[in-house]
Amino acid sequence: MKSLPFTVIGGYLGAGKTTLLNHLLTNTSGLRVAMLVNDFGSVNIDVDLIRNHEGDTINLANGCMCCSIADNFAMAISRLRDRADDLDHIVIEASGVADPAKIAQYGQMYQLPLDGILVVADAEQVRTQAQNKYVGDTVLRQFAQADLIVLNKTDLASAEDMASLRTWLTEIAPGTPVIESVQSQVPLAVLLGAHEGHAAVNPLSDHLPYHNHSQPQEDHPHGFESWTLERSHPLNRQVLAHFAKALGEDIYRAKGFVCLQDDPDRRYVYQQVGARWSLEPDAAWGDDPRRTRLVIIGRREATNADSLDALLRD
Amino acid sequence: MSSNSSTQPKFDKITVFPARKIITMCDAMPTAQAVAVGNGKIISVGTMDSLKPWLERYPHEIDDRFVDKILMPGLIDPHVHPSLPAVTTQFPFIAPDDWLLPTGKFPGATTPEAYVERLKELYAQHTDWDNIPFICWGFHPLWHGEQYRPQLNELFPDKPVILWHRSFHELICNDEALKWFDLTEEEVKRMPETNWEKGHFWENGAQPLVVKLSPCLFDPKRYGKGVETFFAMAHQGGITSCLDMGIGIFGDAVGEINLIRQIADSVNAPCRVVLTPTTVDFLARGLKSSQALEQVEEWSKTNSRRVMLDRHFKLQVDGAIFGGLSQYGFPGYLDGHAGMWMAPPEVLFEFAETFWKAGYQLHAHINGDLSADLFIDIIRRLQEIKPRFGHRATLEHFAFTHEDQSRQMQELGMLVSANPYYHYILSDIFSNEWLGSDRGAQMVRLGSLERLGIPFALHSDCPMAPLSPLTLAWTAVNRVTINGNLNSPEERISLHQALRAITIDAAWILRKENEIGSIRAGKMADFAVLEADPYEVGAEGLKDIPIWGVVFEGEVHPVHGRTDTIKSFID
Repeated sequence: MKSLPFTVIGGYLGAGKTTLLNHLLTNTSGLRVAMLVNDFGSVNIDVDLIRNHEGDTINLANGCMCCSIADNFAMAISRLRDRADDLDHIVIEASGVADPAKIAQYGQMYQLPLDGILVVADAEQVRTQAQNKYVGDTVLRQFAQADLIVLNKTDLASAEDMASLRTWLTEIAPGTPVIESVQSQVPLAVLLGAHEGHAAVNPLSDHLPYHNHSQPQEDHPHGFESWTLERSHPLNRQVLAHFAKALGEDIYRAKGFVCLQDDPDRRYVYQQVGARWSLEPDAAWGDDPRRTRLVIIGRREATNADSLDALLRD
Repeated sequence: MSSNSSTQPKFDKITVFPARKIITMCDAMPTAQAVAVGNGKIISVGTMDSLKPWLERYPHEIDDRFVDKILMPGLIDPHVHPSLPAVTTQFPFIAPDDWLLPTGKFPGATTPEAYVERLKELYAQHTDWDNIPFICWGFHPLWHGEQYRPQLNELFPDKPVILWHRSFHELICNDEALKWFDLTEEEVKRMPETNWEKGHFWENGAQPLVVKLSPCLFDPKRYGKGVETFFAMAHQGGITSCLDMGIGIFGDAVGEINLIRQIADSVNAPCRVVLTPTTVDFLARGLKSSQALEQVEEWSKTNSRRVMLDRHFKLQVDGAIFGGLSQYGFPGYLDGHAGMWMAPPEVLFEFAETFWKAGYQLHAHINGDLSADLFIDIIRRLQEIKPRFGHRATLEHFAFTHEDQSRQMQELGMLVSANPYYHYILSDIFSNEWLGSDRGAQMVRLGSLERLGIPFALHSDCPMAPLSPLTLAWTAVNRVTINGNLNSPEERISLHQALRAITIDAAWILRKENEIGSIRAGKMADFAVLEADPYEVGAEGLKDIPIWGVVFEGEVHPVHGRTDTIKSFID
């Protein structure tokens, strides 16, 4: 099966996962996403966007599809196999009481590369939920497993509550970036690493509008920014390892192609979501210029191109 | 006295069954020697002499087949899943414990040598190689030793062989079986919960294998035969009524109801099955509780003599006990792992509230004390929202709870349907691995219920335990584990209480105490026919009492007469 990256969306009941997924399905900017959900009934897609129903699958006009996991993950994945060539990304909804890390393991069973684990939380309810006698452990475990936390419904919390929430989250999930949202509106670039206006982040493309400077997204209230770093000489692995650890909680994602000193003829893909990062061998450079180019997405005004550049030091 | 024929009851035929002893389970008349039956019901109970007022008035016949036998009320198993044995009995069994099935006699093997010898014999009998590998259910390494891929390869180099673990959740394959599943070393090594060297797949690791086996397991002919086997097993166990606890768990509730009904009638099964819908099905289909209620009311419209719905509803609360997924309160599991909720408490409450308000009897799958707390909390809240007398909310399985919870349940009018076999099989392992010896020893604390006077029943949840209420009674009364340890003797129950738990108190949990569960005038003529008297035989001999057969609504059904339906599955 084609190697499709998958993202797990977890979080307790009522956090806004379903709203997020509904929003995502209809705003993928050309990215073809297969979504596996637990509760088919709550997926709320505009009838005009539906191309057809095929048993447990809804096919959308935008090339996306939505499948019900029901009880059987294995069957849901096997249905995707046949469609793999027509898809770019898989999103799997973890149930409210599940460990998203376990769901990630299921995906890895099928040799699908894990993009990241996102956990959505209700800013108003989450502290109470974390202390609940029955589900407190579950909620805390979900945070511990998250690569990114989406703190949703921030419009329902006061400024003081938000401050104390952020402090609390740094205690229970140290090092994990937290993105604030209202009504589960999270930019696609943050959710799946794709940039709005493009099917996927392609750091080799010369058509990117943000060549070597930052690009703030004005239309998002809790906006994000993206920065690009480039190097024309090969890097050694320790440099990247240091960079990954140094990025910090304000950086949500980083992705790009890397030229390594110890294997200069082969292009490597660097991918980071929160604190989770990987460096995987890709195709040979061939005639393409051997240049490292990374796109970094993080909280608006959290940093600048020069500071980031300094982190990628030899 | 003149007879007024317009007020006399009409009977098609009165049959009198004299017996060595009739155990009525009625406190007012605990034993009798004869019972008169007509129109499928009990007309009168007493002695041949005391029945004279009836026998002098009405033509009758004496059926003396039971003259030297013991009659009890038809036994009741209040927690079964016809589909589970329908799947497992498609294969031969070699477990640590004995299994005497309609498909064959499968004595337990408690040493590796015995296991291997038996395995070779059964392997030689498999012929359906075109459709399915040789599969054998019941393996457990604690008794059977290391029987993994290397050992299986040596014993069976040419054909696919799969061992299905006693817990139901693990599979072991030889090389030929791995080929049959199309699994390569590389793939297996990337899967969690697998071990390539041992050919061992457990929990999620086993899932892809089960998916591959499913078309065969659920092939209508094989599966249909499996349901027949379920009824034959119930018959063997002396069971005339049972309460299913989860239709639709394999995805097709209506299909399942129809199949069970069709087979029950076609084999003239001497047993009725009450079916219980469950949250698992509706949540898998993404339905709200109000929609679930609508569907359940619809399904109830086609109730028939043997197969019916009767306003029961089940909440699946925590995870499987064998898989260590029950929810325990502090200090939790010894090894620190977490249990699992099958649904968020809010969702469970929503379903509970909908069905409670509609007057249903709630049941909840509860294996850990934290889950018990949750169910107790739910019932408390529901009583504040809409107080109900006689709600009979039942805690199912009862693997581990605290004494204090027994008292809380009494306060709330809750009942228990327990699986005492969990204590038998798991108490020692749980003491060492998961709960510690204090909690492990006190699993399934039936003694506390008896002391408090809380009605409770015993169930098998077959194949978690054999479909044999007398065996369940034996485990509850003796409380000796499979390894011979007597754990927490204070939680043993009396013989009489155990017999109540498989008859009249089980009927109470089915809400059918007006019709079944004891032998008195007016109830269904459902009897279990035993070759020995449980009170005479005593605690230790209970599970070995041979069952001659049953009487179901006045019809006699000997076990050994059923050769037409007891066909061997071993090809």
